[in-house]
Amino acid sequence: MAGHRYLLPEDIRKLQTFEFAARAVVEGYLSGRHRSRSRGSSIEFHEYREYTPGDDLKLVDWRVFARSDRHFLRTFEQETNLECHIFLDSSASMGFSGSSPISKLEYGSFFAAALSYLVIRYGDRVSLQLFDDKIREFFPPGSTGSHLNLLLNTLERNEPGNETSLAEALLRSKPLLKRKGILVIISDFFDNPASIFQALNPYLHQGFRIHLFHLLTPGELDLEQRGLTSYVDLEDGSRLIAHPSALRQRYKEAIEDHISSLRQLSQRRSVDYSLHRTDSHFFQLFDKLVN
Amino acid sequence: MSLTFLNSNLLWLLALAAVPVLLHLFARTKPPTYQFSSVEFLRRIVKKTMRFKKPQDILLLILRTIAVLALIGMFLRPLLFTQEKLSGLFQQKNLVAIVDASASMAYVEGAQTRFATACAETSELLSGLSSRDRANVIWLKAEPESVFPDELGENLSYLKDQLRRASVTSERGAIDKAFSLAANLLAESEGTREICVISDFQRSAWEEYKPSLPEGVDLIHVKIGRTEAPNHSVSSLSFEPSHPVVGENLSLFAEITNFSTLDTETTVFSEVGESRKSNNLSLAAGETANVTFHHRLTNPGPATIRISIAEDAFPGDDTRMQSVEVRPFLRIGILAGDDKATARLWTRATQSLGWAVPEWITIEDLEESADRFDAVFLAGVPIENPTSIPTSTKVVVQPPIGEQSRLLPDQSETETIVVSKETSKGKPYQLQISDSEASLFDVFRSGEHGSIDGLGGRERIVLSNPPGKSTLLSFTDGKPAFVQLAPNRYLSFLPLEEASGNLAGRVEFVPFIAELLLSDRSTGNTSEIEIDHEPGEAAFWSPQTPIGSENLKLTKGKLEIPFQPSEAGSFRTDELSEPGIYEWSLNDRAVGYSIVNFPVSESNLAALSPEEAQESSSVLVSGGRELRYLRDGIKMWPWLLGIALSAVLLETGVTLWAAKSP
Repeated sequence: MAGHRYLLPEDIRKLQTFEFAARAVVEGYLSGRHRSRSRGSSIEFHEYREYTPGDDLKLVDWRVFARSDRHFLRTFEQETNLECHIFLDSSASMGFSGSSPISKLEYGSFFAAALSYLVIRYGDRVSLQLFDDKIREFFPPGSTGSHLNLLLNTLERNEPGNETSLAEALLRSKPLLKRKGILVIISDFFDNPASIFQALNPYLHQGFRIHLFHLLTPGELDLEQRGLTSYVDLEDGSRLIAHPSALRQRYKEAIEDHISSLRQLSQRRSVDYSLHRTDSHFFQLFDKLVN
Repeated sequence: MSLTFLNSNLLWLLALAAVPVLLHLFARTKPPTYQFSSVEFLRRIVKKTMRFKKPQDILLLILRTIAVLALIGMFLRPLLFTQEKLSGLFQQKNLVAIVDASASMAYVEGAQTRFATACAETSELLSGLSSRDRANVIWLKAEPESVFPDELGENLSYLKDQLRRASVTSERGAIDKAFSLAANLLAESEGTREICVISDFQRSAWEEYKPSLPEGVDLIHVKIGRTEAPNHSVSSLSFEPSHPVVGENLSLFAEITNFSTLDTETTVFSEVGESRKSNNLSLAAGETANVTFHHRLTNPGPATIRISIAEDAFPGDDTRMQSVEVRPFLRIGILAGDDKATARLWTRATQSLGWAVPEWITIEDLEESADRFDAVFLAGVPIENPTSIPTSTKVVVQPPIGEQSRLLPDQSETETIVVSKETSKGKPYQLQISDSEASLFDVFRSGEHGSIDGLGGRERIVLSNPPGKSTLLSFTDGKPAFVQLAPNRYLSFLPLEEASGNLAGRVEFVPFIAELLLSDRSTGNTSEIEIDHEPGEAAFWSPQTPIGSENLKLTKGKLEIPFQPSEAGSFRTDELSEPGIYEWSLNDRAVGYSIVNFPVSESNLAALSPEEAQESSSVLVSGGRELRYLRDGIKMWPWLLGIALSAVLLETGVTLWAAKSP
């Protein structure tokens, strides 16, 4: 594993002690060794439980009823495979670093690499999709070391591309995901929130657990103090001459409104949303993931 | 309007005014480029705020540019000239100020007279001159005079002192003389030459005046006072008769003129000797009203006449005066020729009047001193040589019988006229009034003094070819009986003698003679009387009988006026500046008066409008300060400093406001 730009040895050491996998399994999906507390239809018996109205009558153990004249349900532990789908926004805006040492794309790539490593390390499957206004790269779920290697190499080659269109990317990638799992979207979400969540609807209906990781540099959260500046849009190249001091307050309010809008829509749809500054360590994203 | 920079070598500094503009443009066009993730949020905000920011930027740019311009302009030391008067800015100035001291300048406007204002403005004008400049002041009055005789002077303090001490006159201003004097004073001057007239530009005095100035002399008008000034005045005074006798009624005719644009009321007072009368008068705007007073003359000798009105804002013209010699009797000359009986009848009739003294004279007396007599009666006197007789002396002629070449002594020779006596064999000749409108017969209209109609006699005088002149009395057959050939010239064919009809014995005869003597007496027109003067003129007085100057005095009130003997026993004063009655007295007894009346032309205070006043001048200004600015320019640096500071303060304010505004 050594030698990859986005998966450093010291990060691997830290990740080995990371409890992400166990906590993630607790939430629902087991791959092989992991068991879910959700009662399922696997072959491994879990326990008997007294029948309560509404339970599936198919699960009633009639032999126990014959012996004890009481209704008990025979429950089994469900064995599941964790399938984690990582969507990494690779649009041009993700290439912005501002005063931070790394860009949002690099920051997201570090997280995507670490998450892929963890998922594959525990034998689960991980897919990776790089998109801007279209799907640039898609790697179906895999759980092998070579798959991880492929993902890491792809991330290293990845460069910021065109304009962001997360909604478009989500719509196009839905047919590619055969099985429900965890959907991790890493983006700066410079898109219309309503259209993003409209594109997420099919995933939510299918039972995907969705995590939105909103990456912004400090300079994007709080407009940098500069003189009169000609702002050049990284995505469409358009220019705007403005004095930041005159716009700063209104800009902060606009960004906060945007974040607030994303957060409210996420809460309504039971989607996990978290905002991250690129001047913090990407390990904090795992905390959000498991919490 | 033009601008001159004293530090014009620093004009290049004006290029610095471009600095804030360039800074603004550079800042606007080439700000540092900054690649940002998405400017969509910024664009939305800018759309909302740009409409506020752009005006702020432009305002700041303007204020900064103004501040820089003002500061640079301050160092250039600009002088603002409101009119094109830049010539000779750095040359020696030669200024002659003609200060109007005529009577109209005594009008009070605000708290002071126009003249006081003119002196103050002139003083202000002189304050603008430097120590190397030269000036003089000419007082515009009847005889203009300059403060420095014959030259311009550098002692401006003395001129200012004279301006403080000066007082307005009651004289008419001799504008021509003043300009001529000013041109002479400037003739030898080097440098700029200016004549500055400080006046109210009274329309009556200045309207027709077009000055002709030497080449290179600028004429500047400083207009004092408003264009309109309300005033009413006694504009004329005359009386009748001009040589009244004691007991006669003196009629005063006065004109009161309202020069204002509003109707007014006033009281007119008349005074003749000790007799005083008054009358209320309403005057419409711009109207002249005639007022008549009658005073009975009770004492012989010189008497003063005064017409005055209630005092107004311009009191100088509220009074006009005259003097009249009230004679104790009329002097009648009787020249008896062939018809001594008629001469005696005329003598007896005139003697009975009481106020006429007949005197038998010879033809030589008539030729030498006809003007001594108020009337001359010639009874049957053949006139061989024409004799000059003043028109004011009444002449009544009864022509002698025979062929005559002339009927009146002062008549030129005509074709031969045959004068004959005619006797009626039947009914006596009867008289009738031919000209019933003649004032001569007014006394008979009431019947109190009898009637002329029906009188007559058996004899009468007839002419071969009667003159076709105004026949006052005629006989019933149409033949003339009493004819007026010209003013104060009469022919009589009346049958006076007892044998002829005894007309002289009738009660109607004496009143007829009295009316004849008193009729057609000339009025006392002021212009014809030499004792009436204007301020600024010397007064002459000729006593009726020669007197020495030892005990003669001329006084005005308690002030004694110097005089000196002049030609032919008359006396002459220096120029009299004050209107009033100057009394000549001999041994403390008034023997005559010299009257100085306010000049009529000065009463109408209407002035030329500013446009009219500027027509004939190079420049028209409203005061000395303005003229100083005009000539020396207005120093602009304090204003520019103020503008710069204001712009900086405003710029700070706008910047703070822009920073605070979201």
